[in-house]
Amino acid sequence: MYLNTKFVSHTHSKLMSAMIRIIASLLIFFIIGCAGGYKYYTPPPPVPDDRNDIPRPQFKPQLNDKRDAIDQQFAQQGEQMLDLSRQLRNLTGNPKEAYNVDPFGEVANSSWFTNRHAVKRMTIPEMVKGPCMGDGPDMSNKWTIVRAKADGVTPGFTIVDGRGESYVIKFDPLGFAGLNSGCEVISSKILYAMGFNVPENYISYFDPEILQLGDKVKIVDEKGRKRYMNEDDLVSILKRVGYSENGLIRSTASKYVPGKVIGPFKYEDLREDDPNDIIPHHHRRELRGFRVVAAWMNDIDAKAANSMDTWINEDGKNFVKHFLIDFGTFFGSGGRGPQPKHRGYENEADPHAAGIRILTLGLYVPEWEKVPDQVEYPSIGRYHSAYYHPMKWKVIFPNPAFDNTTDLDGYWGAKLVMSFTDEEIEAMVATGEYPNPEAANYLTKTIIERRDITGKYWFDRVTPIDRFTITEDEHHLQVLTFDDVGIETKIYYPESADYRYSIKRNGVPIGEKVYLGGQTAIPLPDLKIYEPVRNVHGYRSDQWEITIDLRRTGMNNWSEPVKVYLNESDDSGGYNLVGVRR
Amino acid sequence: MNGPALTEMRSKKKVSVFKYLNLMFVCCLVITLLHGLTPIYGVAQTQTSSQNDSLSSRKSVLPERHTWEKIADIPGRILFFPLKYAFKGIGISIGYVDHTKIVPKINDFLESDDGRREGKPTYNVRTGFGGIYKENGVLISDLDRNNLTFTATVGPHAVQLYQAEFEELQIWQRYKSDFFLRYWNLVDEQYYGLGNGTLKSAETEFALEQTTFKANVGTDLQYGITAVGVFGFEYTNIANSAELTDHETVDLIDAQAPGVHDLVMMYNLGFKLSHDSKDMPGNPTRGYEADFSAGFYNQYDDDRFSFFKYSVDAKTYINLFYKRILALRVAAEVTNPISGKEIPFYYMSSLGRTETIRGFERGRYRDRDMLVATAEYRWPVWRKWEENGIDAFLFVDSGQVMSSLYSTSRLDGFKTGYGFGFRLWSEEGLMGYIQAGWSEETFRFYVGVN
Repeated sequence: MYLNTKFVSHTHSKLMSAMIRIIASLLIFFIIGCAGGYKYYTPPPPVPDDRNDIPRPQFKPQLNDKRDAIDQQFAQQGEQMLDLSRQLRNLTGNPKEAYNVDPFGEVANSSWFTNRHAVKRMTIPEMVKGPCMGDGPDMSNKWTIVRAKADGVTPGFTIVDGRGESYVIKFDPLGFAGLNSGCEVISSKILYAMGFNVPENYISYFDPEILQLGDKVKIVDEKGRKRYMNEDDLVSILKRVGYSENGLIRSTASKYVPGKVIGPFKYEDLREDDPNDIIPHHHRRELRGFRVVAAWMNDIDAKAANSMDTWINEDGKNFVKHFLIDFGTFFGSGGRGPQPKHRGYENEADPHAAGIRILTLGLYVPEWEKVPDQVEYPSIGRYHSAYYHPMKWKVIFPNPAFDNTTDLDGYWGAKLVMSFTDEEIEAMVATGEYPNPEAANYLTKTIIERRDITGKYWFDRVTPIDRFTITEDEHHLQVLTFDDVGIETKIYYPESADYRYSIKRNGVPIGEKVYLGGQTAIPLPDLKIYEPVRNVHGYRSDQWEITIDLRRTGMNNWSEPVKVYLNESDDSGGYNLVGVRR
Repeated sequence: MNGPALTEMRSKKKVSVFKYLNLMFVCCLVITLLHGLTPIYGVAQTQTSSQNDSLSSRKSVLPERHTWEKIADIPGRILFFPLKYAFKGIGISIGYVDHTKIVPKINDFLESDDGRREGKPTYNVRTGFGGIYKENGVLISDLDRNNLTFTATVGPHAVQLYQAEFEELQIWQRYKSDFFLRYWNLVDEQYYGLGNGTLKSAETEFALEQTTFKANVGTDLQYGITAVGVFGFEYTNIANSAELTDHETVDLIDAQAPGVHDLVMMYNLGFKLSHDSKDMPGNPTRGYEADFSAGFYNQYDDDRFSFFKYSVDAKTYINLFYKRILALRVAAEVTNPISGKEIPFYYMSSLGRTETIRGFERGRYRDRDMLVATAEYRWPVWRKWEENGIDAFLFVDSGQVMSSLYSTSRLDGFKTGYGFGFRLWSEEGLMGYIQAGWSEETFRFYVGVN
């Protein structure tokens, strides 16, 4: 008994000793890590242009929806949960940031995204026109049906019009005039103005007589049988769609995206046969930041199946262009009727939400259950701002790019969302041509309310000081100016902001913190009084760090600082903007 | 080797293990710090500096994971490996079924083009697997009425069910009729004796072979009440279970149960009144359901058995808040023999089924009369659209059998079962359930598919 006790005691003391050494090692490395001195800012490398000439990639058919859903909901989520490095990064507040950003957190124009309204203001007519290059399908000649979708509750056709252009014709659910077609068109305008690649969507009213059945059009009927379509099928489909008061059928005419279709893109990994595709999709800022846009517009079905890649020729180069398509489940539309109440709040098979409900014996009532059963406007569906939360919002099935959204991605997305004024939103909603003007007003009001909630949420999380420029004041001294995007977008009152800054040269503080009040211009030190530091090549290598933070009325603490990096130009003798770290 | 020396050697081994652990940990830390704290921009820059213009070489420019991340992820990957591929397999299978549209194709194969004839597989908890063949609109063109259904299922030990149903035959104005013919052979039934105090150790087994014919004529009255007149004929044979199964069981003894080893032919006449104001058959959130039935049963080929049977069954659904439903039920049965006659034991009331007290063996208590009450609290777990969903529920069932409902006043004789479960419902009805019930005697797990 004595021996055993001694052995246990001895083992314990050794164990303690080992643990102390481990903890000490951890502490030492932590201190070394934290007190590593001034870290020079290194701007990210330029992201290569992904619009280089490449051979035509193979067509990859759409992944089965249900297979994709199980993969995303269970396999991917489980893998993420047990991904130790991911958990460590999240735990330490160091999540993996997007790869394709410039030193100021912006993305370059690419095959995925073109900077538009948020960078260079578009006019309202430009926004209303959106991606549309024409006025929709030719109504003066017959439309030939070349493909049809008869199964499911939302039938549709592919037609070729008199000009030889192909359109996908999609209908509103019976009894919900404008539900799908309205949101298809409005969404395409908004997404285009933001910078995403979208198809040309038109609201089209047509007489069924304009339709003619093409040769050997195959359909898969509701019984799973593949066969040639006949006139009876056409009549059957047209019986299931709504007619407007003038006897015409209201539909969305979605023009085929340009280029050779090569299948959808995934929100993760790379397209192996596209040499231009070097950034994993789930690390692209456009796709990670798209989560914010999707939440705002309630795009609950953001998945691979609602995307399309085409091999396109632009400026003499053939490359893969990535499109977002099918916006029939945006806003309050659920495709075959209004969105069910839980959409946007829970994944379709949400083990987390179900677990909470089981464990709380139903005493926990999620907010979506408090939403009234009644849909006020059938043409809008369930789209409201009362319980909307930009970060708690969820897609039907988890989206790998959305799962990776960081604060900086969110901030980028919020800037896109906040770039639209009330008038611009109203003008774009008008393109939905809703039969009921009150419904259009409601949609406009809700989009605006959700926009403001989105902006407030992300601008509270990430200090919205942005658009830095170096100018000269009246004394020809250089000044760093910035915009407060929160004030510019009317999320905060102008008089609410109080800014301050401090300056470091090569890590050495220059003076004390300076309080600017509401001013957004920082006078930069005169470089003539500083002896330049030169690198081995003889160039000036000084780095200036301007740390700016702000406090708004009602805030007790100062915000997270924004650090702006400048260097000294050999040519002009002045400052150059190098980058921003948030 | 003596004790202290052995202990010392063990302790040395332990110390060396700790040293190795410590060393490994420090190495991991160094690797982590070297790789992990490097800003991503720095890493990217280092890698891009070595890039060339060849498009094919660019794939390796921006690796998704650094070395330390790959190392750190190994345990999680190993742990999740089987699950990941299980999910992948499930996904591929479901994707294949969906893509090839096997289910609608099978349905199409089993259903005629005009919708008049259809067949489908079925499963019954008591009688096993089988098939259903349905002929719709047999006498008139309305496919929702005049339906003739044949069902056949077979289970272990030659448990069998054959059934024909002819539903909704309009005979005159508002009067409709249903006809029902069934033969089943249940070889594994339990009998524990009569009364509320029988012991579980008194279990005996028997085989029930029964042919039933029933004809109902009914009409809808006012206030949502339906009245139905019933005529039935039943032929029952109780046989030795052990001959049909491999079980080493005690067989039912004639003296304990009236009706054993007799071939009994009974006919019955009766009526039933029903009221149903539920808002949705599959997932009621408010409303009432009530049934009252009365019947006279008499032996056809002898005069040993003759009795009256009355039953009442009332349910109500209360929406507590946000579709958290409290379902309450009270049911009673009374079986009164005609003077000098008997009641076959299988016509008596029994407790221990899912419809009575969950958590007991089926048919655990039998007697002439029965009283049972149930409280079930349901709450939503998963909803898809408004048409179907999964609810969880907690339940308490309590009841007892007795020789006479009117003479008993003992409340301590109530048997109680409690438990929880999940129910999958659609607008039309309950699609399936799994539930677990506990009682003072046992635990029972129930699975049902409709």
